[in-house]
Amino acid sequence: MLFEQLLIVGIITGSVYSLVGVGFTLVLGVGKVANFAHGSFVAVGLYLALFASETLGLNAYEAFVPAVIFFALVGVAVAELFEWRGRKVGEIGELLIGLALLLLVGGLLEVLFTDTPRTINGLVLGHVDIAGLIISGTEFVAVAFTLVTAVALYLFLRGSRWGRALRAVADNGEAAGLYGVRVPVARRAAVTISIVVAGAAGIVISPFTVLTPDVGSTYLISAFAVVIVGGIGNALGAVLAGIGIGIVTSLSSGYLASYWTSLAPLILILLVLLFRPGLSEAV
Amino acid sequence: MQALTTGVQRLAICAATASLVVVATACGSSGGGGNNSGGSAKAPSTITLGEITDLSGVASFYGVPENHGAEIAADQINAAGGIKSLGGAKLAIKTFDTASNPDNGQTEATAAVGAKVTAVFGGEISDTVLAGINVTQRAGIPWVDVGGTADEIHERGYKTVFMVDHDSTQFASEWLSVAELAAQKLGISNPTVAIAYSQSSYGDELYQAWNTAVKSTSMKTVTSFGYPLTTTDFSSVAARLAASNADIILNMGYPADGLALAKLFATQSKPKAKIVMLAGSDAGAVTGQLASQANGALMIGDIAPGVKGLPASFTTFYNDYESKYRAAPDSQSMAGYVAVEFIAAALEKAKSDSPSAVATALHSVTLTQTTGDIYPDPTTLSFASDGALNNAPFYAAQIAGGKGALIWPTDVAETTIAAYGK
Amino acid sequence: MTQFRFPASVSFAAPAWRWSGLAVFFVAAWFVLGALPAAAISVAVLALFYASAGSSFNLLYGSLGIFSLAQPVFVAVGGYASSFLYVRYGVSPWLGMLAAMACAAILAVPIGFIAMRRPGTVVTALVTLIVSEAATPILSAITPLGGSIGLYIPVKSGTNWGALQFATGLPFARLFLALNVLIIAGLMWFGRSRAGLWAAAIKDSPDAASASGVPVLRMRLSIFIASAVIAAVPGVLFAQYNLLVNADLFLGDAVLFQLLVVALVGGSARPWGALVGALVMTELSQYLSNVAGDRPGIGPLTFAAAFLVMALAMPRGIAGTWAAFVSARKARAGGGHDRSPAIPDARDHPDGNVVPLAGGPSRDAAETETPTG
Repeated sequence: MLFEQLLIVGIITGSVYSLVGVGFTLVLGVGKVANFAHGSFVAVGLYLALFASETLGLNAYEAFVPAVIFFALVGVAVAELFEWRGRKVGEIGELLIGLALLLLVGGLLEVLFTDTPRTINGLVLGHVDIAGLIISGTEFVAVAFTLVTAVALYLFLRGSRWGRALRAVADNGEAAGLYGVRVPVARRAAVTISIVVAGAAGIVISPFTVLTPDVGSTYLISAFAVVIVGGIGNALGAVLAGIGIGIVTSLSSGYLASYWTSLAPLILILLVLLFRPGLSEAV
Repeated sequence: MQALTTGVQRLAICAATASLVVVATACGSSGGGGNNSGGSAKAPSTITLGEITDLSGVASFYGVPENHGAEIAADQINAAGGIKSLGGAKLAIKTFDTASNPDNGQTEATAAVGAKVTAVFGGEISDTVLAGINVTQRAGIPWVDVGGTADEIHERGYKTVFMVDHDSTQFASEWLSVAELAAQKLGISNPTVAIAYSQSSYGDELYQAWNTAVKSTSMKTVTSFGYPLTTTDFSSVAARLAASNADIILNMGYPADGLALAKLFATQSKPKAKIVMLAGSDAGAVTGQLASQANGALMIGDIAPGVKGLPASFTTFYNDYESKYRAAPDSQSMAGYVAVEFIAAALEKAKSDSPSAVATALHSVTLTQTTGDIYPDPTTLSFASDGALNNAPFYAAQIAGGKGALIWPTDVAETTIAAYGK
Repeated sequence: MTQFRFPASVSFAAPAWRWSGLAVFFVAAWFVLGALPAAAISVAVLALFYASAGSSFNLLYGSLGIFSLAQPVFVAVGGYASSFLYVRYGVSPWLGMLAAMACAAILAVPIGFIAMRRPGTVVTALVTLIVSEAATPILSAITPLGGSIGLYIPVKSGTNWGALQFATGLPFARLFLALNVLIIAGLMWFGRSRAGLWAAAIKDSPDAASASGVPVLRMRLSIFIASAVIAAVPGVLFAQYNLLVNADLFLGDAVLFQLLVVALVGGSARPWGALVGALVMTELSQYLSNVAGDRPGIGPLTFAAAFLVMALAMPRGIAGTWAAFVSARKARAGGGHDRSPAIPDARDHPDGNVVPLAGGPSRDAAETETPTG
């Protein structure tokens, strides 16, 4: 019983890691920008859902579409920021801006919402009893959303003209430019999409997550792990990696002595790092 | 030749710039102030207390209520005429924010010392307090710790350090008493316990204190494990706790941990245990978020009007706090209030605002329910010789109908303990 | 003998007059510290602590372009090593410092190997951050080190040089100052040494460097070990200052942020980068806390805003902006320093003692930071 429960819990938690990781792998692999503030946008999504629920009386799904529009606008602005400063000085500029945004968003959330842990209640979508675990409908939606998003991104990047243009830019910006791809637009698009995915992730997981202003950094670390294991720029890899890490963490937390809860996934990451042939930026 | 001249010029510029930077640092940090002359011969008109606590960052959840409670104490004392033995001197509180980062402990403590405060109080993170008391002890300034629970705080042998709340050993044995009471009321003999604790110095010390205390009882720990400090998803922790066959589930962690577990126990992993104790969470905060979802859980209780044996001083405190801050006070608010009351009483007794006199006086001061002890239980508060509180106040509540009802101490209990999940 | 051209990206080359400048600064600062009030001294201790940790980061980043977030681990190792020896065996922290440096050096080998396995700033950042995250549970699991509670250092009253405990913060401030000066001197020496030259070559193009005989892998590992050793010493001092060592104090998120902010704001283009960064950021956050007032959370928010402004205006840090300014001025003055990006051929070194390349994990071009200005 416990094993099945931990497995399911691991899949659900892992989906959250995947969702956050998918956006991060996109911005890193295709946008070629190391957005240290990626986790912060997930936090913004969470708190936006809180605001929608408390002040506007909208539940997470009702607020979804307006939120996506909001994040698209924010994404364009942030992409512009990275493009403007980051390109001129190389990766260090982007890292700095990412770090600054991380601190800024955390500080803003703390001032606006204080450090009291919050939950969002009231959205009940039914539940299913599996192996003694009661999984709520909102968690199923989150897992489904993860899969849909990952597959959509994958198909977009592989199949569509725009997607292939983005990948071309990621592989070789100059050459892509020579072929008529508007390189700066393509890069901005990748960053914007990743921020939209991050914010949407926050909205979708809000019904079952405990909110604190620093939750962004925790998601950032998981995003790092997912990207290392799944491969930079690999959307489907991110899903597998996230779920894999989620299951490993859950099982070790459920069975092993305390310190293995953190160590087991870290060792997994280490092994991948050491033995995986190429952590190169291929899409 | 030219190179040499340029070199010398550069040397001069370099040294000058360096000195300027250092001097600028000096002026900036000290605010341009030199040393004032020492204590004045006449009675002072304002006595400054330094509050070193976390007003931002994760621990501000505790630090802000602590500060609010302290301000109410200061307001009340000033309104009643200040410190009478010092000519009606008024109390002022100057805050020093350690921002939930223990690295800032010494820095803020030194700033407080530099601001010539008469006494220091506050602190919600043990490591911060432990680092800071080195400074205040050397300066001879008393520190009345409010929220740091490490035993070491009063075991270090510093005569200027006092704790206005329980330490880890007291806290663990208090929860043990609650567990024993609950087991007895529910007819469980030789109860078994499943424990999940936060892997931080706070959680680890609590866990070890519990293990020591439980040895002399008939309780048996069947599962115990720690979870990383940065855990935000408690699903697997909840699953493991719920799946254990223990009679008692115990969580020793931070407020967010207990909140997450309460929600998971209600929605996802229903425990078989009859007793669920979330030792680090506060009933008011949890019911504010979860309402009836938290029903059945035991956690730190809040005192509100209507509790048995409430001194009048509490009602006054409660009303003042509510009207100033539009929120109900919690356990940290009360502790902050009591800290200031202790210092005020020591000032009265010492008839002096010199820090060392206050420190000495604190050792022999007793607060009664008309002189600053706003708790229904205990009825007096005083410090042991090592600075810990004799009889630290501790209240536990069970959530029923979406609200917390006190179940401990038994003389102020508002309800009988029911089994979880009924 | 071929005339050497310094590659365009060399960071620490130092003409002779800078040594005297450093000495003057050291003496001046020593006395200024003595005149400061206690509150300023404690701020100085914290600033100088972050400066020395930040310097270890800047060494790696400036000389080799390696963005290592694993530095706090070495600081923690330093603190734990000396404290453990003192608490358990009564070994003086001065000797403990040597043990701490040795421990850090030993740990730097596997960690460095993992960190530098893949090229690229971002990948290294990701990997070293994961290593940093792993340090907390590992340290907590080692029971003799006190678990999550850590170690409490027994207090000796008054000033005790043998036990590295002092009655005031001033000796600590001076020790940290001396440490920083030593580090800066070391970086300055490094910049002019053969090793520094090779590092610059590796940073510009590992392939070209290895082709001309520079031992890339050995250099990278040696510098990583050096940075770890540099990070361990402030750990020892900080543990003694707080009389406490545990994961919260040394490996909290806040420590990593401070270290990064100090190192990046200061810039890695000059050996004094981290020190200046620390002084500036400390001043700034003090000033902002005073101005922003008491509302909870406003302090960190204003600090973050200031940091964003700095990230936009001075992405190469103060040292980098200064370096750009200096070279722009030289270019305007005409003829000045030849900035040709020729890679010096290691075989031409007068020392002649070159090991033919044993191969290193250099892959397709590591990114090059194009200098501004």
